[in-house]
Amino acid sequence: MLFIEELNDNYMKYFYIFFVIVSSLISNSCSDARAKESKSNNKSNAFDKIDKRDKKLFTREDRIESYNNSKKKSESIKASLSANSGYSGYGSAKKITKETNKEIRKNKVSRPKISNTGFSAYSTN
Amino acid sequence: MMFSCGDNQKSQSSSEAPSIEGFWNRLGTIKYVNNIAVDTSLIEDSKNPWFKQVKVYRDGSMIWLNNSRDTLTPWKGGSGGYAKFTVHSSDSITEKTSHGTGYWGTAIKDYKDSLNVSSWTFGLRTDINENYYTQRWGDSEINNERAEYWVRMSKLQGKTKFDGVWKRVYQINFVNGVAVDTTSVPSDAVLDVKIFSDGYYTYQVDQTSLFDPDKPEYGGYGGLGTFEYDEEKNILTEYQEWGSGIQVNSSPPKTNPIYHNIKFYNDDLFFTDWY
Repeated sequence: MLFIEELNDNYMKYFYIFFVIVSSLISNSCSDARAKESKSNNKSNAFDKIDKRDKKLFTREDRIESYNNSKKKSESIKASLSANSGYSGYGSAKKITKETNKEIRKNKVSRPKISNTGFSAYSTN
Repeated sequence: MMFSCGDNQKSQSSSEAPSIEGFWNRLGTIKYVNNIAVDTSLIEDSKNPWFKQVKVYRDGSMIWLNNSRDTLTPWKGGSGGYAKFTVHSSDSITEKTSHGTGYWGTAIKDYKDSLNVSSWTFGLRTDINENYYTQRWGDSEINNERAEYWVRMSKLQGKTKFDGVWKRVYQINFVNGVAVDTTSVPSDAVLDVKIFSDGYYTYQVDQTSLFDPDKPEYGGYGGLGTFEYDEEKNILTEYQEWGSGIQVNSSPPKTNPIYHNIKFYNDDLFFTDWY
């Protein structure tokens, strides 16, 4: 009887150790999954203010009006920039080197001009 | 003993069905008589060999578009549609179409508004194989069955950060490099969905909630092309080939590049400029 009791004690001990190890492994795996989920949730944190503001737009008509107003604002900014296109400081031409006996080479990088007026944010659908 | 880390999203596709994911090019139409394919009409041999139709299935979303011109509508380009899809087996797909461009965009809008529903559901009878698939319609009892015949488009490049389905969610206005206004892009006002996969991209912008039916913009716009991404310089280069809705221009492949500055906020959000 004593032998069986001792066997049961050992059994319980090993089972307990096994249980702790398995639980730790699974818990770590779950933390990784939660960390990844948290990272992808960060995308919403940066725009919380925007979303909060837009939550006041209760109807579809309100949302459409807000979006159209933003588009008009963007168009007027673009028109204003075009009107002031003579202003220096914008452009994509870049001087690489300037030496007295050599031609100045302008490396025209095929990048959009800095004076672009808008950015769109795309999220996974 | 069962443990769960959170939501376990199970794929709805049958493990036995070949994958429908990827870009497909329509080659023609198959005619059936008594359930037997008796004739295949290829687009290249038709009166309209210029006709193009492309479809992409990716991550639960589908976009199709064509370049069929319509001289009777305010917009002069082709049509397209956006749907969520579920593959039940190699011979059954359900598509729930919610938005579109061109004539199809207006048809979807009319359907949703008249029945006060969010999408139009289509059950497709398909035959999905590794490199081709068909999508049948008609009634076998009156022998008018036909099937769209699609071939898989070859992959142009390996996986990029862009591969997947994206939706335009914010619009940010800049002046002198400073953000002056940010607004969300509500899906019920305008839906701009874009799919990148295997070196191709396609997009649909449904504007039926923004404009009146007699305006060209009501037809929205869509496009198909190829892309390259320079991860070092953060430049996305797009080579659009043709479009739908108000997009009527076409270009040969790998011509007329359009460059975009890109910034990834994280794996699920990126910014791109427009001007």
